[in-house]
Amino acid sequence: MYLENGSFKEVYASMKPDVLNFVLIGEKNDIDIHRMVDACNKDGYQIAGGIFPMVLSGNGYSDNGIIIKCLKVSEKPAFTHGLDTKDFEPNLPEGQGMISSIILVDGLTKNIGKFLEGIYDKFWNNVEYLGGGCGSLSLQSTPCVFSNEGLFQDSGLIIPLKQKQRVGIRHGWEKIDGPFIANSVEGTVIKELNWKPSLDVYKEVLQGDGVREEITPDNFFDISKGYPFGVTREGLEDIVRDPIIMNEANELVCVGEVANNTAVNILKGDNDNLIESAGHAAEYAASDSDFQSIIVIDCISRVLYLEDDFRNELARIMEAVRKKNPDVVAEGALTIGEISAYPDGFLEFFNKTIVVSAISE
Amino acid sequence: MSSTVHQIALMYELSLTTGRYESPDEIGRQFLKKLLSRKGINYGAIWVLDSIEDQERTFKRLYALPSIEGKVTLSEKSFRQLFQSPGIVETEGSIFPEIQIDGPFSYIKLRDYGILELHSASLPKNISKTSLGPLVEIFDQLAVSLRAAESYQLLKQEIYERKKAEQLLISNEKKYRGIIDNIHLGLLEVDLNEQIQYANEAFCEIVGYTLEELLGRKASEVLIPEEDEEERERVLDQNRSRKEGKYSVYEAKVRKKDGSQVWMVISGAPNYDDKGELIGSIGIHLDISQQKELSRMQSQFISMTSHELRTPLTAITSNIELLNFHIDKEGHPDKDRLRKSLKRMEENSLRLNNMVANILLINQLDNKKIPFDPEQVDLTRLIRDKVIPTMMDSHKGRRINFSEKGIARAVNIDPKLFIHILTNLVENAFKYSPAESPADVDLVYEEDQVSIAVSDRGIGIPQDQLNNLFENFYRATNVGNVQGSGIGLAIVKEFVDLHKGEIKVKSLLNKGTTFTILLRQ
Repeated sequence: MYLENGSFKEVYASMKPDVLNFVLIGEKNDIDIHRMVDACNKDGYQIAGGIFPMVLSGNGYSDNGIIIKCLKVSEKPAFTHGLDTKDFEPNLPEGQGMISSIILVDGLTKNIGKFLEGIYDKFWNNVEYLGGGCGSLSLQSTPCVFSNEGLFQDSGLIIPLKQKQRVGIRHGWEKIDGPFIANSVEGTVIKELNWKPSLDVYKEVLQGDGVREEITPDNFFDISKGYPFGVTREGLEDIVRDPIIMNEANELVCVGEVANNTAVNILKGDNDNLIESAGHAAEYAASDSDFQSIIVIDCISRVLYLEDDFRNELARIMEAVRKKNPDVVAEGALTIGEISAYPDGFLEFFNKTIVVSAISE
Repeated sequence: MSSTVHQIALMYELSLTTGRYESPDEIGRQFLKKLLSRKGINYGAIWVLDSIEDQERTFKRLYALPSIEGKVTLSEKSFRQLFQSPGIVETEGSIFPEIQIDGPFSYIKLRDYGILELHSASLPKNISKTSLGPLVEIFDQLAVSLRAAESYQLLKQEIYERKKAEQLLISNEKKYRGIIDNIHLGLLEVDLNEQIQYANEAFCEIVGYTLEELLGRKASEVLIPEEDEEERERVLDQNRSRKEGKYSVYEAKVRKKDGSQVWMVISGAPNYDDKGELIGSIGIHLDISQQKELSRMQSQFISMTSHELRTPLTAITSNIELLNFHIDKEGHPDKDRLRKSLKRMEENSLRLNNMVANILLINQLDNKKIPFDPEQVDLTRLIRDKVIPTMMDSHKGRRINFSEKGIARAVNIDPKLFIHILTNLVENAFKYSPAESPADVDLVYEEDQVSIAVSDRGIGIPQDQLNNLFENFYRATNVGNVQGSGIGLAIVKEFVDLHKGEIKVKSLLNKGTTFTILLRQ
C-alpha cells in the first residue's frame, strides 16, 4: 500500500496484527517514528522498516510517500548495532523456518561487507536475500533503520521471512576502460589507481570519453553519476561502486567498500541499456507467476542519472510484472546501495543496481 | 584480450592476498573470499592436514564459506590416486564423505599444508581446469604463504610468550624488590666470593652504610668484627654451607659503620640464577639487639633474685633444724603440734629451694650456660649406686623396681645431668601415684641405642596434654593438690636434648605413665 505524504494516523490505521508491517518511508515525510514504534509496542503490532531517499509505487516515486507491506516472518527481526566499530559481531536470527530474508542497513555506515559476510557465512544461499541501504540523499548520517526495538543509526536489520522470494538483479552499466588496480584503498575511499592519484586516472578516462568539463568537488557527483566503477567477476555483471564525493585530498569516496588491490573497471551508462536491464531484472523475478507482491530496491543514483527517463525504468518494470500478474503493483524504495546475491554467488552490497523481488507463499 | 587482462588482474589480486596477512586464517579468508567473489562461485574451503592415522587423512577447516564445522576425512589410497600428479582435480560431488553437496567440485593440493576445495552448481566452468589452470602458480604461492604464516605465527607466539615471561620476571622482581625494600628486614645478597651484590634499604639502615658503600665489598671483611675470630669463623662456616646448597638460621654479631655492633638473626639461603647455577647466597637479617639486651637483663634479674632468695631460705632451713633440736632437748609440753608445724615449714622451704634451683637452671639453659661434660659412664651402676639410693632415702617406704636387659656397656653421658634427669622422673613417678605404689626403672641396652624407662601406676596424663608436657611451667589439669612448679620436665627435656637424645611419654589415665629416654650410641 502506498500513502502519499502519509500521516501517523493513516499509517497506523493501515497496519495489521499477526504479520510484520514492513514500512518504507521517504526521507521528507515528517512522521514521528518513535511515536509509531511506541504505539506498535503498546498494541502488539510487529513493525520494521527504514527511511530512504525516496519510495516508489508503480510508475511513480516520491520523497515523502510511505509504503506499507505485510510480511510473514519466521521469527523476530534481528538488529546488529555498532557497524561503524571494528569489533562488532553480527546478531543473526536462529533461521528456523526462514525461507528468505530482507536486510536493511544504514547505507552510510562502515563495514557493511563484514555484516553481509556474517549473514552469508551462516545461511549461505540456502535462503534468498533482498535488501538495501537506508539513509538520506544529503549523505548526512542519521538514524534510519527501525523495528519494535526503536530507530537506529549505524545498524543492520535482518527480517527472516517464511515466504519465498525470487530475486532479479541487473544494472546495465558497461565498461569503457580498465582494469585498473585500486592499489591504495581505505574502506570506501579509493586513493590510488595503478599507483597514481585516483582522481587523475579517473579524469583521464572521462576526458577520453569526451567529458570536457573541469571536475571540481562541486560538480563531481553530477559527472560521476554517469561513470561508476565496476569490480569484475567472471561470467557475471561487474559489481558497481558509485563514486559520490571527491574529498579534500582529491580522493574518490564510493558508496560501499572496495577491497585493497581490487581490479576495477570504469563503467558508463546508457539510458536505454539501464532501462532495459531493469526490465530484465523484473522479468526474471516475475518468471514464476504465483507471486502476490513485488518489492523493488532501486538505486537513488539511477534516478539522478536517468532523471526524467527514470519513470520509463519504472514503467518497464511494471510492464514486466503486469504481464505475469496484472493485479500487482511494484512497490519499494530508492536506496543508498542494494543488497542481494546472484543465484550462485555471494551476498553483495551493490551500487547503481536494481533488485526486484517477487514474493509468494 | 580483455579476459586475459582480467585474468592477470585477478592473479595479481590473489597473489597480493597471500603476502599481506600474518595469520593463516586471515590469508585463507582473504584469498577464498576474493576467489569466490571474482569467479562468481559460492562454496570454497581450505582444509588443513590434521593427522594421518590408519591409512586415513584427517583435515580440519582453516576457512570455509559458508562456514562448515568439524573435520573431514579422506582415505590415504584416494588421496594418492587423486593427487598423484600436480594440478587441478575435478570430481562430481565432494571427495570428503562429510560434505553433502551435489554437483561439480574442483580440488587443488596445497603442497603438504592441505587442500583447497571449490564448488559451483550454476557456474561449473568457473571451477574447471581451463578456468583455474592459469592460477596454479597462485595456489602454490598460497600454500607457501599459509605454511610461512603458520611458522610466523608460532614464532610470534613464542616471542610473545617469552616477552610476557620476561615482563613477568621484571615486574615480579620489581614487586619483590619493592616488598623487600619496604619490610623492616635487612636483605643482603653476596656472590660466591662473598662480594656484596645487593643490600636493601632496611639492611643499609641497620648497618649505617649506603648501598654504594657496600656494593662489591667482601661481606665478612665489612660486617664481621675482626677481633672476634670465633664469630668470624662461625659466619664463614655458615657461608660455606651455602655452597653445598644448605639453608640455615643463626644468630651473629654484625659490625656497623660506626664500629658499634648489632645482634642479628640471619636466615641464609643459597642463590641460583635462571639456569639453576649457584651464584651466591641471600641472607635475611633481623636486628635482635634489643631482644638480646632484654634477654640479658632478664637473665641477670633471674640470677640475682634467685640467689637473693636462697640466702634467706638457707637461714630459714637452718633455724628450723635448730628449733627441732631445742624442742627435743627442752621437752616442750606441746612438742608434737610444734614439730608438725616445723615439718610443714621444712617441706615448704625445701620446695621453695627446689623451685629457685630449677629457675636458675632454666635461666642457665636459656643462656646456654649449663656445663655439659659427657664421659663414658657405667649407666647400670649410676642408677644402682646413685639414683636409687638417693630416691629411697628421700622417700622412705617407697620402692623402686629396677631391671636391666641387653649387654651392659659404657654410655657417653654427663653423669651429673643424667642423675638430675632420672631423679626428677622417679620423683614424679612417686608424686603422682599412690603411696604404696612402686616406681619401675627399666634399662635396656640395644645394639645402637640405650633406653631408660621410668614408669608409675599413678593418675596418668590426659592424652591431649602430652604434647605440652615439656613446656616451662606447664602442669596437667588432673594434678589436683599435688605440689609442683611445672619446670622439672622442661629441664629434663633440655638435658636430654643436650645429650642429643629423645624423650617420649606414654600415659593412660588412672593406669600410669611411662617416660622413655632414648640415647643413640
